[in-house]
Amino acid sequence: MNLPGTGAPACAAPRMGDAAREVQARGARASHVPGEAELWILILGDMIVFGLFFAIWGWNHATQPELFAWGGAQMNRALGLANTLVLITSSAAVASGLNLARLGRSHEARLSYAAAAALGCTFVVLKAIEYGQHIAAGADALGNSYFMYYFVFTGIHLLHVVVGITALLFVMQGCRRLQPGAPPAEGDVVFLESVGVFWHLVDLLWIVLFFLIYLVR
Amino acid sequence: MNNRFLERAGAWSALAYIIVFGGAWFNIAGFLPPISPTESAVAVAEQFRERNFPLMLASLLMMCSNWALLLFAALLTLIIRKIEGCVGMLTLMMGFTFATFLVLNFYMGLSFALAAFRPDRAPELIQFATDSAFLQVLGGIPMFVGVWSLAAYAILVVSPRENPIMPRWFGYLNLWAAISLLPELLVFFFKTGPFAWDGLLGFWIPAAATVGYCFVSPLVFVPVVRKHFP
Repeated sequence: MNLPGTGAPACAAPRMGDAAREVQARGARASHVPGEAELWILILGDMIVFGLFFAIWGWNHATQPELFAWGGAQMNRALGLANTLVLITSSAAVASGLNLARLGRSHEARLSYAAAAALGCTFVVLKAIEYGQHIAAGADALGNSYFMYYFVFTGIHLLHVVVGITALLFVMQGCRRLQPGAPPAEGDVVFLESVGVFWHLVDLLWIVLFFLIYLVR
Repeated sequence: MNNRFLERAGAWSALAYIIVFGGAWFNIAGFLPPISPTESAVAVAEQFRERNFPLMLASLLMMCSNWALLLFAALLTLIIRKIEGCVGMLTLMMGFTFATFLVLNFYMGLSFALAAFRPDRAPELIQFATDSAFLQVLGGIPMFVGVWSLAAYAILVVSPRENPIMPRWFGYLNLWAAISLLPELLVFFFKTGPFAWDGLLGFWIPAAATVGYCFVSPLVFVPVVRKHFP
C-alpha cells in the first residue's frame, strides 16, 4: 500500500526530461519502506488483530441480523461521518507536515502536525459525545452483544488515537529542533515517517470500522 | 562452570518457562481451551475429582515454572539496566513488575492446587479456587503487561538507534505483544464470547502472543548475552 506522504523525499525529484534519473527515482520510491522497517511488525500485527475484530463483527452480524439491524439504527451516522472526515483530514495534515519538513519548512511543518493533533483531539471529543449519547439512551455493553462489540472495538481504536496524538505531540516538539531552510537528517525523516505510518493506520482502521458499524445494514 | 552460567541460562529461560508452564497447562491439565467460565460449579468440581492427579501435577509444575521465570526476570532487568546506563526508574520498574509477576505466577498455580487438594468439598468452593486461578493468569494483565511495555520503551525510546543492545524489531514485537494482551482486561466482565477467558481475545490471541514471544526470545537473548555479558 502506498500511504500518502510516506514515499521518497519530494525534494529529490529529478529534472524534467531526464528519463534515466526519472526511472531511477521511481525505482527508489518503489523500494522505499516508509518509516522504520521494524515498525511494520507492529503495524502488520495490529492489522491482524483488527482483522480478527472485523471478522468477529461480520460473523456476529451474519448470525444475529436482527440485533445488528437494531444496533445499526441506534448509531449516529452524522457523528460517525464527521469523525471519518476529521481523521481523513488529519491524515492529510500529517502527510503535508512530512512534505514540509522535508523541504526544510520546519515552522509550517509544526503547524501542520499541530492541526493533525487538534483534529485527533476533535475525534476523541466527538467519540466521547457519541458514547455519552448511547449511555444516556440506556446502551448496556454487558447485557447486549451489539453494544459490547461496539464499545470494545471502537474503544480499542480510540486508545490507538490517543497513542497517535501523543506521538504527534512528540513530532511537534521534534520540529522545533529542525534547522529551518535545511533538509532534515535521515533519522528525523524516518521518525516523522514512522509516526505518519501509525497515524495512517489509525485512519485506515477507523474507515473500516465506520463502514462496518455505520454503513452496513 | 564460569561466572556467566546464569546469564547464559537466562537467555534460554523464557523458552524453558513456556515448556514447563505450557506443558503443564496445555498437555497435563488439558486447559485447551480453559474450563469455560459458564461451566457449573458441579461440573468444575467433577473435573477436579475425576482428573485429580494430573490437575494437581499441573498445578505444581506451574508453580515450579517460577524457577525459569526468575532467571528470565533477572536477565531482562540486567539488560534494561545496561540500556538505561544505571539503576534508574526503568530498571526499578522492570524489577518490581517482574517481582509481582513471579508472585502472580506462583499463586495462580497454588489456586489450582487448592481446588485439587480436597476435591470432595463443596463444588462452589472448588469453583471459587479455579475462578481465582483463571482470573489471576488471564486477568492479571495489569501486573505483567509492564514486562512487555517497559521492554518496548527501553528498546525503542531509551536505547540509541546506532548499535542498540537489543534489536529494534524486538522492541516493536514487545509493543505488539503488550497491545495484544490488553483485551484480557475484559475477562472480568464477560463469561461468554470472544472476551471471556476462553474466548478469542481473552485467551487464544494472548496465549499465541505469549507462546510466540517465549519461543522467539532465545534468538534475541543468546546473542545479547554472548556480546554484552562475555
